[in-house]
Amino acid sequence: MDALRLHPGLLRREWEGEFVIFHTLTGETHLFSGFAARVFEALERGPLGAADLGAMALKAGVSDDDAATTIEHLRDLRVVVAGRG
Amino acid sequence: MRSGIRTGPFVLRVASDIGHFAAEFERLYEPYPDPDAEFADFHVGVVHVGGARRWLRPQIAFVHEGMRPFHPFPADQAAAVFEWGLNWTIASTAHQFLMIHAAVVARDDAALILPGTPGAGKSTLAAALAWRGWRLLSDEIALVVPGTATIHPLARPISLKNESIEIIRRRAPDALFGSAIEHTHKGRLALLRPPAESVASMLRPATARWLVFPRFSRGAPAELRRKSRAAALYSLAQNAFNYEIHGAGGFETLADLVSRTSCHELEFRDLDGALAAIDEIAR
Repeated sequence: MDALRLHPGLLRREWEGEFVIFHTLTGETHLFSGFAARVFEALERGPLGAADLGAMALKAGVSDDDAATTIEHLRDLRVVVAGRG
Repeated sequence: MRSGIRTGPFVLRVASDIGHFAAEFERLYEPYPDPDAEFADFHVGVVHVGGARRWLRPQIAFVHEGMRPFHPFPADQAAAVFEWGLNWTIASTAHQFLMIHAAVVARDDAALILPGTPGAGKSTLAAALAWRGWRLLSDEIALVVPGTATIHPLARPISLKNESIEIIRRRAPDALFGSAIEHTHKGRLALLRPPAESVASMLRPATARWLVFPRFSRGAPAELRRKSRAAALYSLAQNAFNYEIHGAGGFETLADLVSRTSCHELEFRDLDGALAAIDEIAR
């Protein structure tokens, strides 16, 4: 898997670990909590590879399947894209 | 029938050839000021629809800028159709505001926003609060000035449905109701003129202070829960009429509004319980 990074056209607000994202490309608004929020938070610090995401899932007690579903969802929304930027 | 009135920031030119609508409009809008300008924001009205059908089942249509954007309705629904049509007109054209599908009331110019889809109970709550010392800004559309938490009043008649009509009639025996309108697609409906103070203050904005998402249910009498700011922002974006048009600016406006308000969900079936819960957070 390529490294993943955040799409550059995102506006975000965060309260108590939950994120609301406005995607300036799609015009859509998304609410992320739980593991999706942790992934988003980590990606704000820089790109993540498969090993990083696997470690995050393990630490959060999230199964590999659920973690993969979350990442796929973030990619579908174009919040997360492949590449190191 | 007066041809024009002001309601909040808007000047309306109103036309109709329907006698009973004209009488109802005069009664409900009697204290609303005449326009102080030649310019009108909206030219609206309700008119008879022609054709042979009119002799069997008279029908009327809402008119906006000479066009009829909706199918005809039964003639006895004219007053309700005018209010629905005016809501549609404002929601689809007044993009100088960020518009949220919400009732708004204020105390000391601090606004309580009650966003919700139809049936959530926002009009019932707004009417009850308006007769409990709050100032009515709107029972349907929050007009937010972009980049601020400022909300402009509309102070138009409140549209009450079904059981809510009698509930509010008992609480506000001095209130002026329009004639009951039967068999609308929302059931029985009656329009309620806002308290005089709300109409007189239609040019005085308020600032968002509380955000309560009501939901009428058959469950607990009234249960107030804190709503996270993130969930509140997401819900507001879903409840806005023209959020997409404002784009990133709309997001920032709603995010700032959420940041400065206390956010709650209110599930209720008992109006007294709901009002007590609102009193609790708005002390």
